[in-house]
Amino acid sequence: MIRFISVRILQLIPLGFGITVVMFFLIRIVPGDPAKMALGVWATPEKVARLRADWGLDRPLWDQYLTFLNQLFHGDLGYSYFYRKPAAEIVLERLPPELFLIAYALALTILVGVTLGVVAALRRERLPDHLIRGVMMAGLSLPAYWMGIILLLFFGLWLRILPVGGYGDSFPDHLLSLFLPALTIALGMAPLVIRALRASLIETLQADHVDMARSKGLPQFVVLVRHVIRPALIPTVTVLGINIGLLIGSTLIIESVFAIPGLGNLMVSAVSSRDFPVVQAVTLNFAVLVVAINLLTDVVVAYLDPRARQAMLA
Amino acid sequence: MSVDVAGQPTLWLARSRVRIGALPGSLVLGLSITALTVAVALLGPHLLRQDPIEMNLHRTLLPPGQGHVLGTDNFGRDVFSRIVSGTSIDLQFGLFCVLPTFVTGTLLGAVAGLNRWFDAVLMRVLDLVVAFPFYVVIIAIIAVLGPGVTNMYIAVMVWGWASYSRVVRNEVLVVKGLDYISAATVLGLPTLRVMFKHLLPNVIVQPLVLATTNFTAYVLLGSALGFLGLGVQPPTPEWGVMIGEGRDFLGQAPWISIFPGLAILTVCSGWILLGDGLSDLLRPEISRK
Amino acid sequence: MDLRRPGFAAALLAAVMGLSACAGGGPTTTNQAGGACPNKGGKLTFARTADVSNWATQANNPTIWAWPLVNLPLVRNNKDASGLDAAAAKSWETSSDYRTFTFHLRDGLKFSNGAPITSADAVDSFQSAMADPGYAGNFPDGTVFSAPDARTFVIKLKDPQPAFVENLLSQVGIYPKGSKFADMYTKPLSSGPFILADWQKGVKAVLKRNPNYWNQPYPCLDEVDLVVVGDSNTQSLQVQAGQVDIAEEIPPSQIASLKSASGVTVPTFPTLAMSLIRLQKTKQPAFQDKNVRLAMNYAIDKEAIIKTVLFGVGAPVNSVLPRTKFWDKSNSPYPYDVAKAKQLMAQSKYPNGFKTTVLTASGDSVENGIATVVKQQLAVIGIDVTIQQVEAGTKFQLRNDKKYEMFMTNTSADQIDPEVFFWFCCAEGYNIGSAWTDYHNQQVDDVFAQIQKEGDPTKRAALFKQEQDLTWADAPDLYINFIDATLAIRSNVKGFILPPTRHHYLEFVYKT
Repeated sequence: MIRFISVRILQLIPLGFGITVVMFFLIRIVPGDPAKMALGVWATPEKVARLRADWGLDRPLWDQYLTFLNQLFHGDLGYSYFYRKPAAEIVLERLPPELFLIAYALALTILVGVTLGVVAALRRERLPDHLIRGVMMAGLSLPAYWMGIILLLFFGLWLRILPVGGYGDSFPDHLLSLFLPALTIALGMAPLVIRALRASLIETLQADHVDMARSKGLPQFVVLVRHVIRPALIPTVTVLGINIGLLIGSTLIIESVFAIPGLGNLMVSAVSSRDFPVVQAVTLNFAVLVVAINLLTDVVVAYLDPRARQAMLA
Repeated sequence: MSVDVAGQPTLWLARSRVRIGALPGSLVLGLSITALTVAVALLGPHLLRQDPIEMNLHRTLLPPGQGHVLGTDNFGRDVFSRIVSGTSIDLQFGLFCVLPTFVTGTLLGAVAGLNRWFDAVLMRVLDLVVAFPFYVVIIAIIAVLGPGVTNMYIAVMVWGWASYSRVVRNEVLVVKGLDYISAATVLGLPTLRVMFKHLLPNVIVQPLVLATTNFTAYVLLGSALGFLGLGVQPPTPEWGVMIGEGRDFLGQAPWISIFPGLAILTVCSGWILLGDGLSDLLRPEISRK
Repeated sequence: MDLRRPGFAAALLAAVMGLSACAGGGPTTTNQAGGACPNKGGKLTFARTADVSNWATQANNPTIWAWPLVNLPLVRNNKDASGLDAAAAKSWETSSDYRTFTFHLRDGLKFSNGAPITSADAVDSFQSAMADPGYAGNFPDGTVFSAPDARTFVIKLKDPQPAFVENLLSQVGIYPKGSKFADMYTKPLSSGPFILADWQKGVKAVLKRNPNYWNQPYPCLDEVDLVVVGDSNTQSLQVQAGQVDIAEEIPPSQIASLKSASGVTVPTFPTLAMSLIRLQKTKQPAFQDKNVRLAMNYAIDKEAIIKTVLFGVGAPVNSVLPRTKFWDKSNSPYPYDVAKAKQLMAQSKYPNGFKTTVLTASGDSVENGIATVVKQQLAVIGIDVTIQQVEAGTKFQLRNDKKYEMFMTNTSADQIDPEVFFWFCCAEGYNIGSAWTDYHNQQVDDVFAQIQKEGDPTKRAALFKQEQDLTWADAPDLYINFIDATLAIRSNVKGFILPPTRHHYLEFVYKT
């Protein structure tokens, strides 16, 4: 298992390389000159040219790429055009709120998703099941930004029990401020978990080995946990893993609506101002996050399912 | 029924013949809703009495009633007409996004499950694709190609196949170790035949369910892009854009956002029920509940 | 202006004396509210949609508006944008040939760290600004700065420029001699009303009162927090909940509900900005035809747009100039006259109309709202417009490359004197072809050449009137509305003023 993990971590290197290549060229294809944008409307062509030279933008593309790679190997992610400080520093500043939000959202997703999924499967075709499936459709069908504003209106303005956006200054503040954004994300992701879990639980519940366990006289709860939930978690974790990219992507809009100083917000403003170094740095971060979480889900799946473990390690 | 060596359930491999008894309720409901949606999309625009695009700047923000069943928006346009006209647009989003990605992703995933070398390559490509923030990819593609729906489809194609591949590949990995698949391979059956006749029907359930979920997601993606202004261009009546436009008026005219939201809810529920029903149908015989 | 304030008489006297200095120049009316803080202390939280890019140069709007909070210029725009007020310089003179400008610094001026400010600091600051690559100012070549004594600072131009002081001097800050200009981007050391105590880029800037500020007893507040809240709907909610004191950008659609919320006021302020649609005359030859342009202007119902999209905030444009000095108030906007528009189209080279596209910024509901109405109304006279939303940065680039036909935008003047603005919009300034539209009118250019040399205010006014008449008859672009800024302010926040240039002069604000 350790070897499996270390192999995957090593594979991160070519992946990171691949991502930086694509990102590097992708952001430069998009029209928009960062120097002109930084200098504003009254920029004379001479000033623009001088700034471009300062930032190395006037050299051929492959030359710029090699410089970038060289810097990367030395751990230098470049210097932000907009903020005029190292891109790595800016990304690090924004990382804690981002991680907090993602962890919070995942926790709420799992909490809501697993609970409702189990209930729906156990009470299949009866009222709780139908209710849960109704809620699930609602969660899947409503846009996050709209939901966010409604929640803000309700809890922030009418009830005044939660802050209206922002991040807060202390840990309890963070918990309060990030609850609504995390909930908004969770309401969109939990239905995926509920569906996968419910479908797979129903299959497993009716499987023979479960009947066998029941007929052996094992208590319902033990049957549930050991023989039903454990195998049923596999597609759940897989679904979460697949959609982690979606979760991270959704932080972009959520952070805008709720004014959270995370990576998502940073990405949006960096793309707008064509701050190439910051865009590259944030992309790298997102990539590492996604890969790390994917690795985590693969490990969990391998732990839960001996067959998949065999297949993966083969 | 049989129990394999590990005590885990075998999947319904030997039972590929489905007993047509009563169809699952969700399937029926899902089919009905979807059929209704298609009917509205095809026939609705011809039966409308008011123009969905025509503005009437003296009759803005009217609540439902008074000749406008669902009220008017901030340009005085009839909300009901806009919802009906928008039906076909959102259906198209869902279909044109889901079909190609589903087919491509499933095939690629199946091959990956069967062929170790291809698997290694595909998984790395998958990691790469999925690791990219979708927003940036979309911006880049649309900035280069220009805004509009066709380019949105292109951007989705580049990214959307990934989730199917991974699901299918995982399922295939689990299933292929099973006896009868190995038996089929030992018997010398060609890989393709194994794939299409024996493998796919058994691994198709999860991706199908995923497809119906993604249908909704793509409709919402169209709306998110509309929110960012990168999808459908005004004044085309697309439901997601209508919700976004109505966001400014939640206090004074909530009907502008609520009704398109209900429309999305209905149509997407139809598809999800359809998916659930199909998955119920294609599951194994269950002799007792 | 409150006549009962004690400082008024003195200020008036100073203004009169200033006016009599040689060849004009010197302080006009003051914006010092009269010298007392009804309530001293407290913290103000100010929500803005974007952060400054840096604290020294003025590249974009959020930066321009916040710049006066920590920087000390020689002069600054007064609160009506009708003239200049003294800042670091208590008075100044312009030579009769409009080439030499002499500034007299106040006595007792200190940097925020207590060090005294002398004219040597001014010389150094201006030289560094001129040399800095990130600073896109308008210093002409050959400008010389000198300090004949510690309290006198002189600028000498090679060529005459009557509006030099008004156009530029409010944008350059004074920093200690020897400081690196690039350091001022992130840690400005000047002497504005506040000091930049902490700056989390893109999130929050904490400003604390500067005890050495020249305009005592101001500022009234102890601290100002500028927080970045990108979504204007969220800003609106935060003001209502009391989480922020001032929200800078309120969507027009929210005005009604905010007005009815308790504890919130919704003032509107006139600005030097206007909304318009630029017409690229090379990419779309139809726009070279004056009849087409006039027809388009007559076909748009501006009042309806203001009512539906802007909820009544704003007024129809009646000039190519925004409401700066020399703006011709008496000119009439193009009336909404579809019959006349059709007639003009019939007389043009395109009687059957044509197809075109308009670029708007994605996600901007006001821009798209206006474009939607314009599309419908131009269709009536045979012009088929397709709306294309593009991402903001891309839109900017397309405009610079002149790859557009119609371009929905708003434009504003940052100086009181409209010379630079006019040069940019209509007299082919900066060699970009009249704001990238390729509008060319030789008569307009000729009159403009006279303006650049004319220092006498009455004559300048006459020349600008002539320019406005010429351009208005020509309709270079499609004009919509003058923009009024709408902010949401908690009722316990007093003394807030927003000059038309939108600079944040928060020194007079106090809380009850």
